[in-house]
Amino acid sequence: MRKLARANPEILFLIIYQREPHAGQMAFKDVLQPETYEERRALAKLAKKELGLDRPILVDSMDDLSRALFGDLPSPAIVIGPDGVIRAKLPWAEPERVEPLLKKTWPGDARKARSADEARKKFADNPRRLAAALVEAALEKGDAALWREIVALSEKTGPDVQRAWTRERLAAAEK
Amino acid sequence: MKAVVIWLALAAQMDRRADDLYDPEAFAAARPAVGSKAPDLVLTDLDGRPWALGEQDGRTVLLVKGSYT
Repeated sequence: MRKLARANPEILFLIIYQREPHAGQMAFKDVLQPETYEERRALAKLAKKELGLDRPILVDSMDDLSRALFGDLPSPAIVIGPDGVIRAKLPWAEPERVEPLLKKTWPGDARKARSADEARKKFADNPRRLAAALVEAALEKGDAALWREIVALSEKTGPDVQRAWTRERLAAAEK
Repeated sequence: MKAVVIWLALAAQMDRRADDLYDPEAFAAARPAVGSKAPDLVLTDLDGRPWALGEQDGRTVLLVKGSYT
């Protein structure tokens, strides 16, 4: 899957780390089902390290919201188009089956902005997408000015949780 | 004997349910179905950064779910 992600930089590969399906069973006798969000996040960090995962990992909520919304299979793959519409689904995320789906579904012009300047030009008419692209740039080499710009954009467009997070990042950059 | 029959029937039912779950066509048609809008979902990453699935407009997203076990 890592090879596939590198071959398709325009596509955002996201992992949702969810409830353990086999905690305490078979080869995983020593792995307990996390009881808190922090425990689940710690296990996700362990998986990232041991499996060498290099894509963003989102940790599912303790009420298993992603399972409620997307079904309770242990490792499905879902392709979501730039318009937010589901383009394809696979019950099991096998790279050899995912690859043809990506070729079929992603638009060639949806290129990721490589810098803040590029993002400002590319997403001038889409503040939400601009904020997301600037966050990428800010996390890489951001200063307080860039975080201020993101905070301003988030105040207009982002959900509460995102606004709070960008304000925290700005405060950290200003220290 | 009766218990064994019930157990076998339940096991067969569970196998059938598992087969249905992994059937590609059934999974594509299950909610949220292919062709429908993806549900919005806000989760945080390993550093506590919030990600809103609905805020990734402009990019194709490959969402893979998984876990350690």
